[in-house]
Amino acid sequence: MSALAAGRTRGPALGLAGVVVAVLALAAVIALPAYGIPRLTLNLAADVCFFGIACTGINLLLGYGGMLSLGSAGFVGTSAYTVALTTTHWHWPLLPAILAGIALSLVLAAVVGLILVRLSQHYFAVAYLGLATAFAGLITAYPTATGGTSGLTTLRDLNLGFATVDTNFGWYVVALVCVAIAVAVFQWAVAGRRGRIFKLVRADALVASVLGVHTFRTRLGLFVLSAFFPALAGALLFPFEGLITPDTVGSVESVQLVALVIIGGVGYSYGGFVGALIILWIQALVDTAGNYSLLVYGVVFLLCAFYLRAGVGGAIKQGVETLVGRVRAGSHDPDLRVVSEEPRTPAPRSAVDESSTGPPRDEIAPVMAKLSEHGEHRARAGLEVSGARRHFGGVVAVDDVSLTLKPGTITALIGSNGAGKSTLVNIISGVERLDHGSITLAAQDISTMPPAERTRMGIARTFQVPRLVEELSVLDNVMLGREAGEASVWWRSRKREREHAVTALRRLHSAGLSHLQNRQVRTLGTGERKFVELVRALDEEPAVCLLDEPAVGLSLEEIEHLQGWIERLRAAGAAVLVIDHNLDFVQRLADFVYVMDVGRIVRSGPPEELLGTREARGSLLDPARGPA
Amino acid sequence: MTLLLQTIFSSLVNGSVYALIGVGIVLCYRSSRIVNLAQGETYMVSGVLTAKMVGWGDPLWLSALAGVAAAIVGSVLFERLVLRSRLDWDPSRLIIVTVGVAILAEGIADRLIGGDELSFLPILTGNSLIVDGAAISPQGLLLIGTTVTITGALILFFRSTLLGHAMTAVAENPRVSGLLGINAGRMRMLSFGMAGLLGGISALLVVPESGTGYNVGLPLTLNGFAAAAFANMVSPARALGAAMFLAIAEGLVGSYLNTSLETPLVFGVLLIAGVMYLGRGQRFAGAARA
Repeated sequence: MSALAAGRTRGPALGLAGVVVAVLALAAVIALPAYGIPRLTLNLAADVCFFGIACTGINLLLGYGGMLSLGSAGFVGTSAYTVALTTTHWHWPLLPAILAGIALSLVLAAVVGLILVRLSQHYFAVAYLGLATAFAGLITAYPTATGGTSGLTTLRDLNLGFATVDTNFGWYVVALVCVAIAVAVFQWAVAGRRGRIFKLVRADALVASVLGVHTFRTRLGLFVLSAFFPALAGALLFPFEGLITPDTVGSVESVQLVALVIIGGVGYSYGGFVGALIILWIQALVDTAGNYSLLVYGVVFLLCAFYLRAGVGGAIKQGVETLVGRVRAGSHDPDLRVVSEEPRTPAPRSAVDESSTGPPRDEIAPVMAKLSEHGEHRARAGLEVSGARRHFGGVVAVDDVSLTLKPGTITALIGSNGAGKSTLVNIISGVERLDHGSITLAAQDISTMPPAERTRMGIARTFQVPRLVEELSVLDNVMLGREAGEASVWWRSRKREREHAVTALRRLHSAGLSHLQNRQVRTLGTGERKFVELVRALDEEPAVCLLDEPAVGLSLEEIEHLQGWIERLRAAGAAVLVIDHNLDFVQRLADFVYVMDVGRIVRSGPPEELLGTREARGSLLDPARGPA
Repeated sequence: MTLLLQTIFSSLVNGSVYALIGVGIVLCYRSSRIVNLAQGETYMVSGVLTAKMVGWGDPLWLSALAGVAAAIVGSVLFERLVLRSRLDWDPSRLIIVTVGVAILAEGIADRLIGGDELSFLPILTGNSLIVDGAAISPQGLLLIGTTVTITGALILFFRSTLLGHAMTAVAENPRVSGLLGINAGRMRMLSFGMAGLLGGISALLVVPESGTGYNVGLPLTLNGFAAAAFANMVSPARALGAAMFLAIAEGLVGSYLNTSLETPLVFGVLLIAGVMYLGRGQRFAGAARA
């Protein structure tokens, strides 16, 4: 039951022995009720399965969407009550009733999600909590239909048409089948590209939309999918328990489901099940009369929330990984090198491998040549900004700015802090609105185009402070550059992913960063991050490249390396804009320089003229000189 | 007319409770950026302790003092022991932690008093004020008055005192505030203590009318949070207004339609509040700058 969701740094691959062990472990866990452990009956085990399924939805939404589901019981209830009402009042057979229950929950999720998903974290959490409470309230408000607080009852059997399930063992089997379905759906939802995109949207919605992801649709889709799990659990809960009451599906239940996930481990497909097993079993053991159960619950919950950040499931997984690592290390002759792992090069002094003075020309050429494959409008695409103006209240950040980025040139934009340079770049990439003026790319007006569209047209940018997804590896981050905007998040092709990975690896290698490919971004320093972000931008094969202070925080060697990269970008025909404060760097690199101050372009001209002498640099902002 | 007036009177009383809890949540948020979903438990702890002590024969003033003190101490300990070392955690995780503490508090109370509903005598007894057939008790008037006064005092506090500004600064940027000489930890302790005080006072004034039990915390917190959400989590004045509005809306629905529909209404209102704040430019998806 290895739950290495894609996007996690690749752990040790399991050999045949590993698979056998995993299968045996799984079988041992499934057979738990047979060991005669007190209170761990088939009934409890089936309960654990159903609760675990409901929790998996919370797990998915929290682990991959960063959204806290404090109201999932509302969907359990929708589904359960639909099954209850259709079978009790309208005498539907069970199977269609179950399907109807799930379908209705999904529809409700879509409708409610339209509003809920837009809310920021706090409002989302509480509005969702309100949903569950509201649902319970609605149920009690119409007792004639729903049985009010006493609820509805039925016989505990599952009439599937071809078979009837009414024994504990039979129910356990049904529960396990549903668990398999739930886990399969979870794994599908977070596989490869999907998991990466969800994590990107969660970590940085701005960058996600710049890279081409429809963030709202993605989050809404995730929300609706996450509602599938409680719906499935709820649909089967009614015939399983034989009873449904508003209490089972209210706010307290929802919160308890979250507790189960926290205890079990967020982000692991089996997290909900581990948590459910622990808590349900302890509760059964301690005191079913209720006096102690809430207390025990609270204590275990808090302990896990505090000390087991990855939950019990995460702790188990880490334990297993350590064990596997030790076993593998122990089984090798210490004199032999471990050839199956990456050769460990000593960490270089600077971010990039000093052995490479820049990407070898023959490596870079085929990669860069792709720029011209993407149609005429990308190669030879020049960018024109005309009369751009943007104000925030009374402050005019960009005031009547016009500039041109010609293909195959490097244009520099310099100026003091607060001059409006970053705002201008934001306007060009579409993150900021344009109040007045226009932007054209290859003679097409893109002034009102959303950032994702502009990225697809060939505009790429980096940020002053690198915006990467901390928890993903360098390789994953770079791959996102290309794959994020390719298609809807639900589409995935393993072949394309492999191709992307190969391309990304090659680019990382030519940037001298391949030794970092599996490192989590959160472990990198500033210089390394800047280069990773640059490689990600280049993975999009841009026609226009906007670099916001790329040299800040880099050492001298790294700046040289950066310069080499930017020059090769120019050689390949891209139009590059560089913002920086390092005037020597700018003078070496730029073909044309714009000087910005208080929102306006005050000077422009070739670098030798503006930056060639100390006197010239000193009077850059001199009003007497006037615009060139 | 009588029904309407009675509804409004009862709603104003309810609204005062929501306001006190809501303002408490605002206080905690203002100083720590944490959404304290355990705020309702201060109400529960205070009410339960006071009721228990009265039941053992202690005079009301002593029990009341003890109850309020317990709420304050509990709140301060909560900040000090539970939250302080975890301030760098993700907001979602911290909400979960506060919920966990709420559950724990409920569990302890459940163990101590079981499912009993407890109460004690009001501070102000006497004849109810009757207007056009609708009645409001002296205690109720005291509650409304206290709520408005406290909220007004807090507004002045945040706007005009150095301490109030310091508290706000600490939430925005604890490190820089520290460099400027503000003891961030002490500020947070103070604000959580004040929130505990509010919970305690609301219990003192309201339990005589509605009773208390081990599980009254979370539903109250939900209503208080709705009020705080309307106030964008930072404005005591708006929290008061929102709480009153919510309570009156709930009351009207309860009186004229169906009491069980009250909560669906709260839910609907929350959504509207959320949608209202949608348009408030979430630039850069919450990050300070691109």
